[in-house]
Amino acid sequence: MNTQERKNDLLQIIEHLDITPTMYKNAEEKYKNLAAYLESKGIEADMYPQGSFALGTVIRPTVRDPNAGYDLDFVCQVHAMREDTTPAELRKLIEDALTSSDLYGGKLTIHDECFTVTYANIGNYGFSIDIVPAVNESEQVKACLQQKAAYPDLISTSIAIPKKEPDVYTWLTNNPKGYLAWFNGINNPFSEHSWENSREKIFRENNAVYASVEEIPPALNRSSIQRVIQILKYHRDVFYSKYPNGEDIKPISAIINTIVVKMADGIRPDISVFDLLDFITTELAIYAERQKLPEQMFSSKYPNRNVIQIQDNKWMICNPANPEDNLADKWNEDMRIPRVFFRWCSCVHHDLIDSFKESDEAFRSIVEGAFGQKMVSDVWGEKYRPIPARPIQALHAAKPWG
Amino acid sequence: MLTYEDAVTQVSELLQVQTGLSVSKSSEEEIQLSGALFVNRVYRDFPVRKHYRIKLVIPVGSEELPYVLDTENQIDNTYPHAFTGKKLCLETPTSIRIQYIDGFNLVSWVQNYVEVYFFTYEYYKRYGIYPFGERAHGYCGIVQTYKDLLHIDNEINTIHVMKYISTVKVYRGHHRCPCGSNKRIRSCHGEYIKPFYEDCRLRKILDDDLLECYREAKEGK
Ligand SMILES: [Zn+2]
Ligand SMILES: [Zn+2]
Repeated sequence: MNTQERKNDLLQIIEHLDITPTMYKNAEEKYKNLAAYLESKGIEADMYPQGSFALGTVIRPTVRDPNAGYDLDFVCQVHAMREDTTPAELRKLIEDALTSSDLYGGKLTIHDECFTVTYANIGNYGFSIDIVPAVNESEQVKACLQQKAAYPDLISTSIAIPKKEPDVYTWLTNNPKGYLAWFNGINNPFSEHSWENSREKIFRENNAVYASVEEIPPALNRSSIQRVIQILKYHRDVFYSKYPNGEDIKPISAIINTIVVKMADGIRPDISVFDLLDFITTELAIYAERQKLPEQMFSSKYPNRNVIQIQDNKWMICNPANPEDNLADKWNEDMRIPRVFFRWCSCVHHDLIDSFKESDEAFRSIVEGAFGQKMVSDVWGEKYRPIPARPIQALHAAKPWG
Repeated sequence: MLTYEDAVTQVSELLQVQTGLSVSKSSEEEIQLSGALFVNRVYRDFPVRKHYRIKLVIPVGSEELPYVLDTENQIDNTYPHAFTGKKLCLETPTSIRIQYIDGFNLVSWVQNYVEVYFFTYEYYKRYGIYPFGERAHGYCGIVQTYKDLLHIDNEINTIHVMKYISTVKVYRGHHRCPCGSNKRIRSCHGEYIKPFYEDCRLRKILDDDLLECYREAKEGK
């Protein structure tokens, strides 16, 4: 069997879920129009992407709906300091501007903490833009954060966003720009490595969109770090869909991003996608021992393992751009969350690393379990000799007894 | 209960679909099959395609149900439903007996119980949850089987209904429903209780199970 070919075929599935260059162009245009509209309403603000659109790790969330569009997240940072306004006022300012628009009013969904503008399909899929209103965080809060921060230089871009408490809005500190700066700092050398190949491939596949290779935006480049994040996010979506409360217990994307980037820090930037995935899932298997080993034994057995920590019996994954933000907060409310998380990590290794030594049929079967049968046949067709399986009807299915 | 002729016919039907199995022993008491069982099933978009080495024993001319032995220790013994004795924990005999009340079918039994057993095992190993639920060990699992069959919401009320069926010999739709709802049977669980009055074979299975439950409860299991 040809391992390299299998790796390329797996990447094809991820590319299939990634944002297309046409869609990217369109999303850029749409969010800039939105920013211009707000300006025309007298709102002075910066609109910038956060989350997967900013990090280059977008995947279409097809598990809950095969035709789902892309969810893109943006911050609308009004030119004001936290002390100039209240969270409720800020929210109202943006809400009023959007609802009064002929263009956006009908496309708008109002949530507690953000506004979603949903656009019609372009080609096969649609997309939606999530807007979180924000102001500049106060100097006092920033000074305080700088004291505790592992990367004090990142703090200056901190923002405050309205957070809904049971009956009032309060401020919550966030720092997407700082996070992006941290992410880029580690990812850039990996990006440089993949850029030449990436852009030639994009150009070959999209010659109707770009007149020359120089026109391709660097934001469409995908480093091994970005690919590994995309693989993990999609595998997570499929894996956790099997649990009745999967949406509540699955690791948030920020956890995946942070773990991958922290672990990749210091690694040879020319590493391939699957070597990096192998390395990260092997590391995660080590961290899984934190569940059973007493802390002292763990740290003497495995020195310098600080990505997922236990402090005062609490799980901790620090947000590098916000020292107040423990990304693993939820893990401490429900023991099953870390347990299922490490179970998931070992399944990723089994499905996407160990499967390379299996027969074609077994490989296909494992990947169908990992990414879903429909997705795999959409991209692979009949490759690796699939054998249709007979479905089990749940209603009267046998329950083990004895 | 299978006669020897029935058993031979059903075995040859099974060997046509499970070509990795072959007859390793055939007598008036039992037929044994050995070899690789191919499981190729999917549920919730998760497929299992694997071969398992098994020995399958089909008792002939007896009330005993067929059973499966894991001859090569493929089932991890930390799995909560590995074996009772050496037999794989397929389902309660109650479920199987009722399913095949009009005649046993070996091919269907292998598909619905043996293949589903291995599927459940793989699913549990991966996700740590049972795709179709599980039965408690011992008689509690048998009571749960009746709870499902009779559509009752808890085990205690299920035992009340089982006792009622076993002691009241004629169906009385106007009686208070033994599930404790205070409604009449006919406007409550009548639909599920009635079959036990219309089919004496069903009733016999329930009577036997109830006796077994009493016996196990007495032994404090
Ligand atoms: Zn069991
Ligand atoms: Zn009732």
